[in-house]
Amino acid sequence: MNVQDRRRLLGPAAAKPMAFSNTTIHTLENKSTSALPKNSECEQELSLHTGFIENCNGSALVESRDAKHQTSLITAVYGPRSIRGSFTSQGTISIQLKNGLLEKYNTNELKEVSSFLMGIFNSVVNLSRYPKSGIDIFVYLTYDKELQNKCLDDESQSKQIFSQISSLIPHCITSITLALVDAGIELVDMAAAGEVCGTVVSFIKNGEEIVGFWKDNGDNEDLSGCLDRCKEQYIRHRDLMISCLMKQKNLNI
Amino acid sequence: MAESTALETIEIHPINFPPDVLARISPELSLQRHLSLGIRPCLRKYEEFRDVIIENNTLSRYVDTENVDAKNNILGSNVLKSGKTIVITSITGGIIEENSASIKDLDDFGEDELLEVTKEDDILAEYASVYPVVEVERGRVGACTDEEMTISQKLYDSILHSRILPKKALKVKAGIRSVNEDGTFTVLYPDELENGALNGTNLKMKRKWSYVLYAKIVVLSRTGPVFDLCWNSLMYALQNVKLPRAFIDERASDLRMTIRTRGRSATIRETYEIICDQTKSLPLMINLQNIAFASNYGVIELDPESQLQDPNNAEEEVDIDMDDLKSVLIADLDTEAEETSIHTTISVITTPAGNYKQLTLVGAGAKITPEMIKRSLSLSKVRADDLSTRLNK
Amino acid sequence: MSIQAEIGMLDHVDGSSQFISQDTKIICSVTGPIEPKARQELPTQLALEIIVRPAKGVATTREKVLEDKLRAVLTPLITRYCYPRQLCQITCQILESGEDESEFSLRELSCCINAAFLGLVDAGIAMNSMCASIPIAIVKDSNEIIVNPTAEQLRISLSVHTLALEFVDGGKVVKNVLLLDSNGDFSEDQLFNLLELGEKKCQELVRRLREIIQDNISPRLVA
Repeated sequence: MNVQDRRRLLGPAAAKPMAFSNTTIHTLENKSTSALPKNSECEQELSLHTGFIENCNGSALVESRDAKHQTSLITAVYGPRSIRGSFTSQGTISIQLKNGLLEKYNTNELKEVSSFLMGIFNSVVNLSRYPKSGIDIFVYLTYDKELQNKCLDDESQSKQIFSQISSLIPHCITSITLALVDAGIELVDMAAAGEVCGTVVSFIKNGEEIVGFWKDNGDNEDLSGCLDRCKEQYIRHRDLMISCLMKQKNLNI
Repeated sequence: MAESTALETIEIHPINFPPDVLARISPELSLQRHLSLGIRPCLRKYEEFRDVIIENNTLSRYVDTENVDAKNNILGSNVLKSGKTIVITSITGGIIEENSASIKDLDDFGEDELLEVTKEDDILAEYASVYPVVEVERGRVGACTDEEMTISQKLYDSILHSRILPKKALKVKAGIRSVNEDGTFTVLYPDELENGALNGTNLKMKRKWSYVLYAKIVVLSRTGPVFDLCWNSLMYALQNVKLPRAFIDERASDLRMTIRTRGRSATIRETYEIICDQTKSLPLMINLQNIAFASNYGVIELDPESQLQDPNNAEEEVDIDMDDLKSVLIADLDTEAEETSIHTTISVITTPAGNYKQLTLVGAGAKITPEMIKRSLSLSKVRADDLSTRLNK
Repeated sequence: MSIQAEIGMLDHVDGSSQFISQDTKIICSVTGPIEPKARQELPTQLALEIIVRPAKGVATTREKVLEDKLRAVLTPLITRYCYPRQLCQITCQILESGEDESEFSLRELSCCINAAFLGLVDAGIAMNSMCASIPIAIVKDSNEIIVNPTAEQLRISLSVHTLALEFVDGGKVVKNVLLLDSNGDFSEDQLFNLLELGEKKCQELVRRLREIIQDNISPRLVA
């Protein structure tokens, strides 16, 4: 029995996690890459849902699937709820990112992303409307699967993961925005973002205003071209969100 | 002034609350009002269960039999949706080296003989369990709650006592990897060889390993008690678990070194990794006849005073006999009102055939009568039968 | 079912008891009613803090489940409306478990229930009714129902049960089943047979518990 954490049943301490071999994969690799046609990134399928979690104020599910990977994330918004301690003139936002089934990202990466997201939503949510309140946002990365089976050596593997978390960020922003709307929390505008080679730009106000900028070590010299491509994605994501919300509204009437 | 005081009379206005407000202020009264109409706050009948939608094995590395997902370490999974609640179970694995000092693992001990001895000795020692970690999402960070701890432990205990998972099923039948002359690797598994060419002497290993199974169970949108949802989800997930084949390197199959420290000599064995095969797997052999499903019930007394009166014969005052309270059995508890107001609960885990694996009666409220127990047991059997048919879809 | 019990051996708490049955030995202390912490306080009722400490090592999830079951039994026993905004701490220290802890917990649970009940009586906390609890096992081959099984009998058992009954009218009338916790493999007939036998045995035990309480308080009444 693990003595370090006696609140959880973690099994015998001597047990080792399963290590899968790399050597038997060769045959597999060829099969999988040939099986999947290489689609361009704009052929990304997005599916959005809101309001399916009962015990919170607002929730959203974003699922995306393109040639490279398949992602599903759930966001739950709790709040505005009262905070302990002294008076605050405006609301405080906290964002927690949680690894889902595949424990893929380490806590540092997740913290970094959540503080980036907090920066965005601090300027997007109309916080002065919520004095003495906290808005707690939980993003649960349920599922994040690569559709291409590649056997990579350690170095390129770590690089790969790094660029992957940046490709998740636009979906996080979409789902948080949707969940906030579902919770009836006042926003300045619908925030969304686009990602190109590890660079994420988040916009509001029809792309006139940038609320967040994230850059990974991908080679991306052409900044203005990158901005334009992110803006395209932003507009696509935003329009999808609006049509999703309008549909939901029409259903409720 | 005098006039006004003379006219002053106290008028009592009844306050009306919309149903959802009343449910917040007084869940107990709201529940009783609903029950008097023959329904529950969730608009189900007394003995009506929520529907269950399941999705098996969609998250595991073996989803696609042709194309194993290399980065995924989930061996079996289930997503269960019941009412508004979603339970996601994923099973992962580890490998532990068995303690070679144990008599049970001695090679010269015949398998059958061994079985006899352990049977005499200890029935439960032949069975293993799964190590579950339950997370109920409720918008808080920090240490796990008492509920999460209790559910995890109860799941562990119930799997062990239900004898679903024999230790034998978790033994690693390790293969040996050898390097061919052209530099490629081949892995030989003792039980895959048709002829006994590479038998016994060659592949006999002194060391033995077992798989360890972990279950991560995430509950989203909790609306009521969740133990039985977690259990059922775990049952579905366990049935589609596949264990990867594992092997060790030929060179390391039985390495021993003698070392000498401070004049004493000791034998240490080379520590080496046991590696899992990327593609090959075997299904987990569980005791299918012991697969059981859970359901829960509550017993509550109908309070005659909070009955809604029939407007058609409101005149008719019925004498209420407070000593003769009628209790009803409520199946599949859900919603806050039921959870907070119903203190007598019955929780059953049973196989469709009616072999009961677990039963918990808590009589903190209404009296539990033998009839209530019988009724809940027979409902459980029907429910288990229904749930078990969903496996093969 | 032979048991030994003692009341009021601890000086620094409001109530205490020791309960021994075969190889299982529990010591229980009760403190209350006392001032609760803000988060424990219930506006209309007595709050209960229940702690179970294992015979060896630190408390784990296993003890959490024992606490959870103990709470389910004790909550309806205590007249909690007598003590609004107050707290009662009940601590059970297992001295000897008398069973294989990795597989069973029924002996410990039923002894904890009995010890806590005696401790509460010693502390003078108002109670609605009395309770008694027994462990039961159904053994392999013979299918015999064994009340208060030994560790060896547990090992060859097919199913194990903890039964706690609520008694009123001087321990003569069974008011309700406070807890029945069954694990293993059993049939409906076995269940009702063991409930029937368990009722008799619990009644014997509750009589024994009354004697113990009587022996404890009668000297004080004379003085």
